[in-house]
Amino acid sequence: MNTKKIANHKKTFARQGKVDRALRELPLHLMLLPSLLLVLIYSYGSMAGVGIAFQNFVPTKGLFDSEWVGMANFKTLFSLPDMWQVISNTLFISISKMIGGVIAPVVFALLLNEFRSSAIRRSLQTMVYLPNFLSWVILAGIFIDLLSPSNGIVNAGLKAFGIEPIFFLGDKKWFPITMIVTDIWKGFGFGSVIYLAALTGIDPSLYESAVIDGANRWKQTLHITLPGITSTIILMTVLSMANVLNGGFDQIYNMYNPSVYATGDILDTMVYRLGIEQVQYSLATAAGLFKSVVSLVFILASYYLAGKFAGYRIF
Amino acid sequence: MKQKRSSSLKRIVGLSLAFLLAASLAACASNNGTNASSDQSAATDASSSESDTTTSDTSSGQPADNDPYGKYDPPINLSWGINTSAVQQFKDGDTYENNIWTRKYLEDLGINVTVAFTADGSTEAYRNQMNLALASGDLPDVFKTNDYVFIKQAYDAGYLADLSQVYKDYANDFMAMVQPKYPDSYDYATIDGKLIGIPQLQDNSQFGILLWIRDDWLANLGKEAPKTVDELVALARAFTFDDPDGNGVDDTFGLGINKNLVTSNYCTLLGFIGSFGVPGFDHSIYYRNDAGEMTFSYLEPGMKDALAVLQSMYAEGIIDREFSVKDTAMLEQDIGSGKLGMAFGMQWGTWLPWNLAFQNEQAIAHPYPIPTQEGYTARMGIQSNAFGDITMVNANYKNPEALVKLYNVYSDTVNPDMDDETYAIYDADEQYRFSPAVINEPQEPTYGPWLKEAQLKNDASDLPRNLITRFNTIKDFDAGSNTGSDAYGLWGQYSLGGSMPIINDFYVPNNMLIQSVVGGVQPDSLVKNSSVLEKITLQAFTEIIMGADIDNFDKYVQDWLAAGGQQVLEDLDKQYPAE
Repeated sequence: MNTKKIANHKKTFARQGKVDRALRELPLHLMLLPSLLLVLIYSYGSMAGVGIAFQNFVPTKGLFDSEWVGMANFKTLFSLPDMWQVISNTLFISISKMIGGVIAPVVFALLLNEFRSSAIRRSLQTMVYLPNFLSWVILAGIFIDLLSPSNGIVNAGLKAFGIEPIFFLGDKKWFPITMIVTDIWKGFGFGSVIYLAALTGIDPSLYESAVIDGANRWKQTLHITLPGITSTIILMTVLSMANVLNGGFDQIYNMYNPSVYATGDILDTMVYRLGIEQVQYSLATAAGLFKSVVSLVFILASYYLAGKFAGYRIF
Repeated sequence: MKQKRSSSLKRIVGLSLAFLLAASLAACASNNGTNASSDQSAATDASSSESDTTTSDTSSGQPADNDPYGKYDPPINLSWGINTSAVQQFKDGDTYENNIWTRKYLEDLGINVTVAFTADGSTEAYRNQMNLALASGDLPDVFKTNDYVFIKQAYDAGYLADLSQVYKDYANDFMAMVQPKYPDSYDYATIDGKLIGIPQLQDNSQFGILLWIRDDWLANLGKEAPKTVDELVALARAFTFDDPDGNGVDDTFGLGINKNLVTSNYCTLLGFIGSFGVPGFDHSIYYRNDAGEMTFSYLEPGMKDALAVLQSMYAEGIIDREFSVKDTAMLEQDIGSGKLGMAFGMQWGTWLPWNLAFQNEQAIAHPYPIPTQEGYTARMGIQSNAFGDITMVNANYKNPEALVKLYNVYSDTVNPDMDDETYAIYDADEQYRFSPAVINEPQEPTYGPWLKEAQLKNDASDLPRNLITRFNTIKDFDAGSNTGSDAYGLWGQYSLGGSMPIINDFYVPNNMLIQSVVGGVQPDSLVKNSSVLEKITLQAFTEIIMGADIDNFDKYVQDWLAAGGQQVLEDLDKQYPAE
């Protein structure tokens, strides 16, 4: 009897608490509203535009009166003579960038973490973070000068070691590699900031006990530091999976040229020439939709794998 | 990342829409400010003025029927979508809303020109803005574009006013005269027998290509301008290896070429392949060859021979080894810093890029006809004259004749006979750009022969007023008393040793200029395939020049035909049948 009463009492108390909490948190939820609206309008509302991919879209007729053509645009897209070469270029460049984009910042963050002086650590961190803020338009101009085979500083260095000058931006073999390396160089500062933040979250007592057990720096890194940031690494990798068909338009558009089309032309640059320069909205939308679908599949797959092998869940 | 990027893109679009709205509100506000009193009455009057004029010709203030200069009272509004350019600069605090031309039109014609929107025409901005206006059906009263896809869509949607009748009724003598003088242009602005706009007047003979060479480099090496391709190659070799600038350093290039090969105005391949009978001009020259078959310029057998020569020049290092990453801006640097002394380019080469060498070291460059090659007739491609901007009127606009009246006043104000004051106010320093109606009668083909004759007679008395200034400027430059870079620019075009005499007296009479059959009306297959075809062409040519097997050219022809080119040729054959 008594216990029942108490239980009842507890229930009403809990209910009361829930209402209280909801009221207290209401302003916080309301603060979410503007961004929710933005997402609804600009991300979901405009998704109706994917319909253009299945139409023979004419701007004057709009989305509702343009003729529906089914999968014709996709057929045209995949019958383009170099579509498959463009896709394989894109995959090679983007996957290499993804792999390098995970490894480079982790290694750098680990090395940087070994510095005792926080002044050096911070200034180094800022220095490598800086290129992240420069646009590819500017960097392209700089790289064209730096990588010039006749008077570029990079080839001057190579010459000093007796290596023949390399035409990094004009040679089919070297162009994708140049794109990958310069992209990693530009972006790894940003990644390392995140990993450094994750590193500070590791419990210092773990290192202390490891030292007592006689573990050296290498063993500490292997058994404490790396496992400590594994979840961050997985998260970053999962997020970057969406880029599987993103070769990096800004970068490549500003540096490519006809002599490297064979290895340097990617989906985005092709879509740009097709959709924007030739005003073929339907084809360009079809290509964009294709990219999105592939990206979605990759995100889902990598999310599943991350959950399975690392127990990592976002939701 | 994909999602992130697209959402940020959308935000940018949203933001720019907001800006647009703000801008148009601001425009409205300023109109209200200047015009508050007449705005309301103008609106009501605009709708009734036409019926008024027919019923009561003598009624006070209304323009008389068919008067090319009839003034609207009270004034009517005319909104204009402005294609801006970095070169135009306002004087004395003028704005787009209130400048020399808006004041003139308001005063002379009672037409109040207002701003619908402004967008940069040198980028994609103007085109995007127009496409946006078209998609939303909200076009300004007056607008212009050279995008025929746009024009056709606007016509099909019924957005364009038919100007056939108002042009007949209201055109002044000059405007009536140019219609038969430039038939290609007016045909281009006519759809289904209706004149849907006022075309830009076109005579593309001025796009013939010349070989520009620095005088001092020739003199330093004791060489002459090349007459044949072999001589050109020898000169390029000398310019590369024999230290033409005499500074003792091996820092010069032979023949200047940029990475886009055929789409730029200077440092282009066009003149060179022209020597081999290939009439190229960007990627747009389709024509009937001597056998009467529809063909694309770069498929011609001469192209293969030209590429073979270029390949050997590249291998020898007398074409910059890095040309494939250099755009024209980088070649301008080479010319400006005295590293490049020879390149093919347009007739206005002394305005750009050779003015840079002139400004930096007073180096003069002269134009020469493209060299000849045994076994080939030298030819160059020019675009069809049925091409260019068309200024159109919104079908909903109540006074379509207002545009013709603007053209009337413009032609009376800006013309070769205008006095210096008018020129300074309305034309000089790009001021003409602030008028919605602009007549750009191709100057070079019109003025070239006049100026040449005057120079031969050494007498300027027969010239229209504004050419007298040019005549004097050219004489002053020759005499060394005017060394401004504008004088150099004019001199390079119109002096007896300039580019226009070569085009007018050599290229044109010898039929060296081949007009493309493709006007503004392009078959779908061409629109659809052109980006792929351009890529195939550029890639093949770049690779061959950089050392790929010359027989790749035959593969290129096959690839090009297979990638939709065959379809394009067949469609063009049907669309532009042999006469």
